[in-house]
Amino acid sequence: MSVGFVAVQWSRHKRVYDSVAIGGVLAYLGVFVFTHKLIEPVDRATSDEIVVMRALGSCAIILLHVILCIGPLARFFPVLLPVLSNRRHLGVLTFLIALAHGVLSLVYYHGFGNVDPLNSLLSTAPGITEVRTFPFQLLGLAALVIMFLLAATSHDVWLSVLSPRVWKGLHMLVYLAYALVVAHVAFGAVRGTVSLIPGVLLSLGVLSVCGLHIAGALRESRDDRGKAADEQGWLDAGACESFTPARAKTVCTPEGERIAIFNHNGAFHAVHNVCKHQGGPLGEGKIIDGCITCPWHGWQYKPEDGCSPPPFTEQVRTYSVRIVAGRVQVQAAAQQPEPGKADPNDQALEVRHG
Amino acid sequence: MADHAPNRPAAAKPPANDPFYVGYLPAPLSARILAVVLAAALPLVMCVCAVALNALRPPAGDAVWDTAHARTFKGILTARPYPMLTLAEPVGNLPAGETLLIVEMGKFGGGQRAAGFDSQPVEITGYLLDRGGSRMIELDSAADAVRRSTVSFAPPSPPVTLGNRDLLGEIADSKCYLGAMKPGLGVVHRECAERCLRGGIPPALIVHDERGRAAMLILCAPDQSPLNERLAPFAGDVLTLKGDITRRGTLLVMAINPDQIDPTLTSNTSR
Repeated sequence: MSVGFVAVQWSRHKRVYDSVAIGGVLAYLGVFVFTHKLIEPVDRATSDEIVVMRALGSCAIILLHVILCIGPLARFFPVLLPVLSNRRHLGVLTFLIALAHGVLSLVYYHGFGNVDPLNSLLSTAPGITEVRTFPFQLLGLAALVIMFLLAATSHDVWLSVLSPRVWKGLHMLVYLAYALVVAHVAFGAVRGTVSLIPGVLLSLGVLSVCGLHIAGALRESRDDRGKAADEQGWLDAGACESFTPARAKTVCTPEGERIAIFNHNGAFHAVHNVCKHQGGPLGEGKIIDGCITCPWHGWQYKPEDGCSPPPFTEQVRTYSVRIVAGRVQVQAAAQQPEPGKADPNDQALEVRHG
Repeated sequence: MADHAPNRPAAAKPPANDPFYVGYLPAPLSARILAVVLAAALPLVMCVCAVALNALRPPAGDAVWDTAHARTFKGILTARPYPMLTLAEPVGNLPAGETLLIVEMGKFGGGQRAAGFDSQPVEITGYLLDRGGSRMIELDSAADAVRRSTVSFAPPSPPVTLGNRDLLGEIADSKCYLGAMKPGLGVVHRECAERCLRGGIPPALIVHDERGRAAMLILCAPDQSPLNERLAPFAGDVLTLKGDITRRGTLLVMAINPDQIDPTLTSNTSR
């Protein structure tokens, strides 16, 4: 799978990315606290700890929305791919901010009493049967536990250890964490204030996340309408002239498999659309230095045989391609792996609109 | 957080046209423009969100918790229903005859240290909490924060009876409401209030008149016994209570029958 791992493979891109993200977070926290102080009369001011708690909590949920929206947004607007490429950094930053919010809330609301804070928090669980006693803080704790799991396994070494399918399945829990966070905020901060603004902003956020994912799913559903293969299993992919050099067109088999067909120096090559790294859409990638390059994290495969260039060992499925009357046709059935090589179908992972 | 070495050789040239972002290659112009736009817009958007979230939020209340100045209070200590001190001498703006609740630091009532001094003249060192004329002393951590006074004081005036009333309000812990936490009411504060009540902080009913002015009534049983455990499950609830109200200085006390609380009539309030 890999020839080696490093803790963080720093590059100028990542430094710029992290600087912008951290700068945005610091600006938000600073402005939040400053406006709180500015708006409230000194003698009627909210406790400093609660102001910081609110700043951290709202910052974390805003970042969570960015994380969830950037996937489908990058599909519609490829210019945003650089934001998607380093999304894991944003995820870890979000977890750290949520953790600070959680610890501060736990200590402040449940500490300094006759029971240790965690026991005090867990003792609120029976209240789940009534709206008035609904333990919204426990929802936040559950979300935090999930976010910890995601942050702790964000390194590619876990992708290798767990396998791409398990790793991706684990990281899809971010949607469960999001649902828990929304309920946490709705039953807590939104219910507990007379101001309509937090509720309106939360609703807009939920609508944005759901709307973008539904739009992405509809687009994929449209693109995935399987083409009918002829009796020999060949699918029509369009006229040769319709292929952009170094780019791909994607066709879907009647069985729902996506195939990316690349135009490489006038020759056509077909590979399975799913990157072996995190399931990125190879068909939205580009041929660079003779290799199909995934748009998500730059993993590469040779178009001729689907193998990664040495010393890497990944391989994606390949498909036969032929030209008939100026049109590109691809065989719906994948080519058999070479003797002695692992079947690249194994561990295939498809991400629909993540 | 960390990344896997991509599965490609190290040497590579950037694409000449058809911009395509790859993390290990020089960024195309579109990615550089995006970075500049985000660097400028993201903090701006975040700031707008911060201002929006803070707008129209009601003030937390005019409570004051003066942790910077330890003061000495002299007067007669009353242990039931909750520890309280009736001042024998003025302290700052507080006149003699004023009655102040007594609690410990953290989420604990003052019962343990006050127990041996019921109806005794005492000197107390602590920190003042004050909200709208309702007041409380948080005891200093020193072992002799409550000590018997060498001077005798006249006994406090008997409580003034104000009659039997039905009042709608929120069950709260008096310490947070008086300034230990701002806001010290509402849904978000519910678990803290319950923890405070279970720790011995006097339970209170916070009521508002038609002009929005708030008042705090300390809740106890008709036999003057504390109601912490009985009222803890109702912390944060808004409900109507019926009871006899008395006044000690500016401190209002409401004696209620906890068996008559109807939990089906509760509702949550918004702050």
